[in-house]
Amino acid sequence: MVTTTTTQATRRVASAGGAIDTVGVTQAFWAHHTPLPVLDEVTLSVPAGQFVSLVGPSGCGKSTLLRLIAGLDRPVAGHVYADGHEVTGPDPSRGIVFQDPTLLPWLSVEKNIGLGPQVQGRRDDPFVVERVNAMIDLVGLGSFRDALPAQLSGGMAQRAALARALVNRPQILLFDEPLGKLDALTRATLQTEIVRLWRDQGFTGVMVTHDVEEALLLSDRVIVFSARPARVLADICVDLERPRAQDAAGFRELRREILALLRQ
Amino acid sequence: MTAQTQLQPARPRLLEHDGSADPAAITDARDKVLRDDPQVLSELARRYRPRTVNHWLAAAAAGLWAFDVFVVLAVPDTSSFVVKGQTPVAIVATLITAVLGVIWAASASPASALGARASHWLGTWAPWWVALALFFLNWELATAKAGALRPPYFPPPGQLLTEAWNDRVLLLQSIGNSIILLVIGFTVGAITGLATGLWMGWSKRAGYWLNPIVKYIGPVPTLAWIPIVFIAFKNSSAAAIFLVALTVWFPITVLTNAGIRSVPKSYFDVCQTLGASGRFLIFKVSLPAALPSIFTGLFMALPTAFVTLTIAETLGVNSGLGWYINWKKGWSAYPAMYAAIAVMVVLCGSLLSLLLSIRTHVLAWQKDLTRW
Repeated sequence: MVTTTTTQATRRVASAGGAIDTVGVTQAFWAHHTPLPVLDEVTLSVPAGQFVSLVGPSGCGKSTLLRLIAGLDRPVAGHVYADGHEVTGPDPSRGIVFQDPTLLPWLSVEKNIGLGPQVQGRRDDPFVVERVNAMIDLVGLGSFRDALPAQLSGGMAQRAALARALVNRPQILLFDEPLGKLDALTRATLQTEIVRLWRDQGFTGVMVTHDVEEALLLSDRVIVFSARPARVLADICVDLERPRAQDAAGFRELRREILALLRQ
Repeated sequence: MTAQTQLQPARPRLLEHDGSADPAAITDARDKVLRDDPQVLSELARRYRPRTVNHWLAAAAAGLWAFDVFVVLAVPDTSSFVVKGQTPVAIVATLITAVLGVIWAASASPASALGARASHWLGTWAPWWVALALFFLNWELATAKAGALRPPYFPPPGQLLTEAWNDRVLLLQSIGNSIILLVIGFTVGAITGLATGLWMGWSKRAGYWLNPIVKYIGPVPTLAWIPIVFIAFKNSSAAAIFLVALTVWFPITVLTNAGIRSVPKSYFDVCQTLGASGRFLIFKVSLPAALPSIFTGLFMALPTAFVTLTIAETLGVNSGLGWYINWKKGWSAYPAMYAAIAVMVVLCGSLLSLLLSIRTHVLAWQKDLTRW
């Protein structure tokens, strides 16, 4: 177990988040008639309410780990636990936001955001309707509720995807390079917004990213992975005051440290 | 002076977000100011002006049809054969003239909703009505007036109209029968095709067993089955329905299956993490996502359904438009046959347009939807 009590995580008293534990998680695929190992006995522990970033060389298996936590795939060995229960499949308590917004193009923004309640047959529940509306306003899409995904900009679509994941009140929210395809300005705005949502909603956040600065701006902890098959290289606690500034001394130091690890 | 310098001072300066107010509210307010700006409005109206009536073309359309009436009634008929049905033709041409005239008059007041629609309609279709009037004029002149083209192979418009009218009961029965067979056959084929395609796309086992069947049964020309089908089905209408359904089933199955299998996997991932059941994934995710492909299937299926039905009617079913055309040909009743062919043109064309407009409506969510 890694010691990772950061100031932020402990400061928030009533956390709605869920803890994540992966124990010796190994994953492999068949590719061109040979087994392709992707994750090599990854053991991680994320306490409830923490925000953790996973960084590592491209194609090292970070996203694979995220899919395992989401329950979209099963590991070939090892176990994934969410709040002490083994993950055996996807569950509304574990939301995911992908690099592509993956909004259903035939549904309006409002219906996309209300997809979670709809699939659970609770779309007309007044409490749920109110929550969907609150989520739409929270991500600033109030005037686009009837718009179709094709009419949204990349940033707006990603906000909608975020709101859709949050409507279910997930205990754990997984981000698979959520800002990877956005322009720098939108990315900066959404980074702030993700931090705000994380603080308000209290979920446990796990984010895969290529961007070391993004990881440092957002997370309590940065996990550095080796090249494929991925294993944990370092587990770095980011104990910096929020809101964070890229030019703070501590920030630059951590950045240098992580980049050095990634270059190994 | 440029437009910019004229515009700037007129607007209240609600500019950058100074942190005191809600940024979204400021954006909304600025939007509103621009939306109400008269210069913006007039320039947009100029650029996005809907198609409106061209009075020269509208006048030409109505005038040419009126001229057609005049020619039919006033120019003496040829003496080389007995010209039938000039009065009904004059009535039809007069009606067309009157309708065009009324629409033209309505288009003069584009402020009303009706006037705007009339103006748009004439703006779109006036050239076609001019062309039709000219076609009709030439037909009338070449047959009834000059006698250069003669019945039975080249009847004048009036004869076509009279003979179709005299045979209206049988003709309408045939049209009705064709439509009934077509609609039932198409619906049955489309539903079974959709079900087969969905099943194949969703279940690996169904795909394994059905793929070869679809690939080997589907491409066989439906008409090759005719001998078996007409023996198997005692009722010839049922046989025709089966044949139409079989023709329709194949493209819809293949394209539904292809559509289902090309649905982005990430849709399923996202919906599963939101708690979606398999049922939801099939009917609320796969099916809508496959709709563009399914419509391609429907579009391909419809004309082949016309072919199959017409031939089935000619060979086995003793009713319907296909049968009527052949029957009239047997009696050398060419005008009635032409009339039936004209009905077929209108019928097939309208059904296809109907399908296409349903497609445009249903797939409105698709980015950059191409209208076929």
